[in-house]
Amino acid sequence: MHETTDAEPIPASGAAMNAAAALEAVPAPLTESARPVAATIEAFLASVERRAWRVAEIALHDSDEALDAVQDAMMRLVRHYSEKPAEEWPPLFWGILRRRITDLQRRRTVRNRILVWTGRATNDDDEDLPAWEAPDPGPDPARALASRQAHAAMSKAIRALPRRQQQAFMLRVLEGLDVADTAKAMGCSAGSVKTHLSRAMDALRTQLEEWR
Amino acid sequence: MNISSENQLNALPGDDEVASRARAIFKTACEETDSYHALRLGLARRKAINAASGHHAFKVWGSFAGAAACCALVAGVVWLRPMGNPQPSSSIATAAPAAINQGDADEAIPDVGSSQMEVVQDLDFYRWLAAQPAMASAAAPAASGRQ
Repeated sequence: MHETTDAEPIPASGAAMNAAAALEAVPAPLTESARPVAATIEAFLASVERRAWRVAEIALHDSDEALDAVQDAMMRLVRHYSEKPAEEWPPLFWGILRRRITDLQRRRTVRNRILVWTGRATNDDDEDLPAWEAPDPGPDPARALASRQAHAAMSKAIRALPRRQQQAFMLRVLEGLDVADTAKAMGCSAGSVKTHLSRAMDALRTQLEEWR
Repeated sequence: MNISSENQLNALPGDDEVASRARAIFKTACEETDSYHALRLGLARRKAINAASGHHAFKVWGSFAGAAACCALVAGVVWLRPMGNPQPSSSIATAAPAAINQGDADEAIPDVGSSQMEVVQDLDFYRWLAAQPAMASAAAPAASGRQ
């Protein structure tokens, strides 16, 4: 998987630059900056925990590891940044979670390489199947199943992206952070965010039909 | 048509749709989080808050304990220093009340240095000189000559 790091200059093609410029105009229905600022750090964590877990689950494809990553990010935020103003919590939290997810992904890559060398590798990427979740006793099981399948297809498409494009897409589009906060959380410039995001959108546009 | 709207029309034919569709799927997935994972997320949040408050309490009590230890150390040093290493000035201060208790302030002889020992040795002479008021003015040059 090719990953563009911040140290590498990103070749900006004309189309990518046009797309990046236009992505600023993508309407976000409820951006993080538009959300009410949480009064306490516990209220902030309560408001963000489900989205954080879903983002981590998409990136890690493992709900338990995603829970560990979210809990670790919560602890680090509370321990080190609870004295910061509440407006700074979202980019700090998502930055911590992004680094934790990246650590877990790298650890998994190393583990898989070792398993391949020792001949004990197993193919746990059963991405052709929809993710199994506990039965939902909701009023419309067919609709719930359809939404789960759409989420599984979207997760699969996002996981196929390079890591930085994944992060840009999830922070900017799914979480709704603005470009500045996304750049802060990703530890890169706003221009890099736009470029990563435009490439992610290019890749995902072709798969939109699978999400319907 | 301005440049930004032209870019949007040319380069992003379906970005709005992709973004809004992705957001809708994500929002639905977040809302339909099963109770088991919702409970575990709540527990993780409580654990993070409690761990941080414990860490904060440890820092507060640690700083109190450090301050108390510093105060005890300073008090111990202040209390032990005069007993272990007597200073000349403090000896004078402690000797003076003892002399006052003897009822003769003029004869209070502090623990003085060697330069003042000659005065002490000639104390009898000075007493005799003080008892000779008529000859005091004439005897003073003689006394200074003796020294």
